[in-house]
Order: sequence, then C-alpha cells, then structure tokens
Amino acid sequence: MIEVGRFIVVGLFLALIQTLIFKEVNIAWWIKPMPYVYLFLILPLSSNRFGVLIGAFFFGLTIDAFGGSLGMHTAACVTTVFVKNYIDLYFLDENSMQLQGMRYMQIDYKGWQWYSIYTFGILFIHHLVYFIFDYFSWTSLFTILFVSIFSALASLLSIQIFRLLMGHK
Amino acid sequence: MLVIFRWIRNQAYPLLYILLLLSAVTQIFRYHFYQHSIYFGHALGVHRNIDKWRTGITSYFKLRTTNEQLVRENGLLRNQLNWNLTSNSPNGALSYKDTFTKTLIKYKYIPARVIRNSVNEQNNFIVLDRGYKDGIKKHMSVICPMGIVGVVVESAAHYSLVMSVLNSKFEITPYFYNLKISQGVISWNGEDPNYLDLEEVNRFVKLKNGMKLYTSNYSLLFPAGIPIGTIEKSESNLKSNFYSIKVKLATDFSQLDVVTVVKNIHQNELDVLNKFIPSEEGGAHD
Repeated sequence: MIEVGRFIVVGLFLALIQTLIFKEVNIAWWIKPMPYVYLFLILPLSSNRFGVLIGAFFFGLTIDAFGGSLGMHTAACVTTVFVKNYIDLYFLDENSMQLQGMRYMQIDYKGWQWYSIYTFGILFIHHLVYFIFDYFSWTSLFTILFVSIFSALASLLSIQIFRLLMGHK
Repeated sequence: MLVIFRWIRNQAYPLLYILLLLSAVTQIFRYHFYQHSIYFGHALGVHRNIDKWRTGITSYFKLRTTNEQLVRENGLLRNQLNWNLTSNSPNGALSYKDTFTKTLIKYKYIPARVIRNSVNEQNNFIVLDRGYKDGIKKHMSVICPMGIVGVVVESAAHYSLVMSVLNSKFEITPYFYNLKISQGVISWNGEDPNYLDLEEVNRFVKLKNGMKLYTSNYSLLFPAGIPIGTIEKSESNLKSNFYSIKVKLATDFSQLDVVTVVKNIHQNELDVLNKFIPSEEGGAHD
C-alpha cells in the first residue's frame, strides 16, 4: 500500500513536471518530449496488470486535466501500458530479473543497448498514439511517424537526464 | 451463456483496455473541435453510404409496389392534363374551379395488368385482369407508358379482351409531330412485331427518318399525343402517289405488364354519331 502511495506521488510529480515544464518547452515546433512515461518504466513487473491499466487511465486523465488536452494522454497511457504488458511477457524473463534483484527493466539486465531499445520502443508507442490523435489525418502519416520518433528520442534523453539527477546510473 | 461468461473472463484484460481507450477517445472527439469535426464528417459519410446501400436494396424489393403506385399516379396526372378537358364549356371561359369538374374531364384512366399476351399470331390479342365490373367496356383504348397497346373488343365481369396493335385488323391514323399533320393509316402486316406499315401518306409530304408519330386528336378511341412509333424507312416511287413507310413501334409488346385502359366519358355520344358514318367491314379503325 505504501508502495502504491509512492507511485502516486511520483506520478503526480511527473504530471506536474510535464504540464508545467515540458508542455512549455519548445525545442522545435514538432518535438514534444513527454518523459512522464518513465512512471510506467519503473513499475514492478509483478504489479497487478488490471490495477496498472486503471491507474494509467487516471494518470493520463490527470495530465489531460492539467494540460487541457482531454483524452489524448489518457489514450496514449492506456495503450502504452497495455502493449508494455505483452512486451514484458514475451521479451523479459521475470524470474531471471528477480534473481538479479531487479523489479523492472534496468541497464544491468542485458546492457544499455537492450535497455535503450526497450525504453525507446515503449516511448515510441506512447508518442505514436498521442500524435495519431493529435494530427488525426491519414495525409499526415509520415509527419506523425517522424514527430513520434524524434519526440521519443527527446523523451529518452530527458529521462536519462532525470535519472542522472536522481543519482541513477 | 456459460461459454460467453468464460470468454469474457478470459478476455477481461483486452476488454478493459478497449473500454478505457473508448472512454479516452470519446473525450477526444467530444472536447477537441478539430478531431470532432473530422470524425463526424467521416461518420456521416459512412452513414450516408450505408443508407444509400440499404435504400438500394429495399427499393429493389419494393419495385412492384412502386410500379403500381406510379401507374395510379400517372392516371391521376393524365386526368389533369389540358388535352383531357373538353373546351366547350357552356359558360365560355374556364375558371380554375371549373377545370377539374366532371363535365370538363374527357377521359378516365383504369389501370390493369396483362395476364395473357401474344406476338406470334397473325391476329394477336391481349387479356387484361379487369372487366366490366371495373368499368371496362368495348371500344375503350389501351395504352402503356411506352405507347399505344390496342382496343378493348370484349369485356367479361373480371377480364377483358384487347385487340393488340399487332393485329391485322387494327388500323390507326398517326399525327406527324414535326409536320403538324395527321395523315395515312398504320397497320401491322403480321411479320415483325417491332414494325408497323404506314400507308396512304402523300409522297409530296416532306418525311424524314426518325420522325415521331403520335395518336391524332381526330382519333375517336385514343387520346391525342400517345406515342405510336418512329419512322424507320420511307420509300416512294413514281408509279404511286403514296409513300411506303416502315414504322418502329414505340411499345415493346414482349415487355407488357401494367397498362391503362382509357375511358372516354362521352363515348356513348360518339357511338351514336358513329352509326351515321358508313363503315367498312370489321376491324378497329378510329
């Protein structure tokens, strides 16, 4: 229960950072970093998947409520958590990770390459869903892909900076 | 039922995801003007296509009823046409109120269905599913949307016999719409059911192929302006003063289904007058 409370606090903190800082950051008109996805990356693999899905829904709803983008972050968060569940199931070995004392995907599990691909994949899925609803046009398909890739890279960079600031490797 | 519950229990996670996603998407379409307009624009387009497709199917199954309704409506409209009205109003000028009174209406139209038809005989006849109980009497003309059909020669209580245009005894004088004249006699020679012969047209009349022929207003049986056919070929020679003309029949007798029997309200008066005209043997000549 304490752990759930801890995640709620981290979630609120990330939501505030997203809406107060990253929403206003204008690197380029098409790059929109959304590092709050980090919350999903640090969730323990053993978490209740139904609880995580519902939690992601309310987390997205909170960001939408703060940022005035009703529905978009919610749809992206819910889809990210749903897809991440299957990625974890097929690509991560929970028992092996537990033996190594890891509760979620970390660089030490299979090296930084694996970690980067995994994190970028999750971020890309999130950003793709977000920008699909944001642009909402078939003719902008390539723009959506382009913006999603670069925004996911910007988010990945932001997450790494955040991790370094927090004292992680 | 148990299977359904089991399936829902097994698929609870994806179903919960779909539910939450739908909730989010609903918010997007509800609160974002751009997404709202695009989504509802597409939805309306899809809805319109489905509606069109559904209407196409239902209207196909309603074709028979629609056809009958159209025949009834045609009858009503024909009753309101100017050429259906006699102009000999006792009071002189016609007021709008007078126009549709019974005394001015010349023809009435009775829809009927063809239940027997032939085109292969020398003298073809048609049987209709309406008889004298429906107001059908001898000498009434029969028309269809394509053109003339024939003349009633006998009527029983519920059925009537029609002498087809494709009958060697049937004759009619055509009206040349382009020339504004009525001349000659049209009859069938018993060969091709698509063609009639037009004779006794003066060879000094300037005919052209493709000219349209209609029933004349001199006709005692048919209302004026009903299509008879189109001139297909005309020949003249110095030995004769008349053309020999082939007319393409407007009515396709192989497709006859619903026809209209034309009742001339003043037919009795015409019959009495007809008795004073010296007639030739048999046939239906107007």
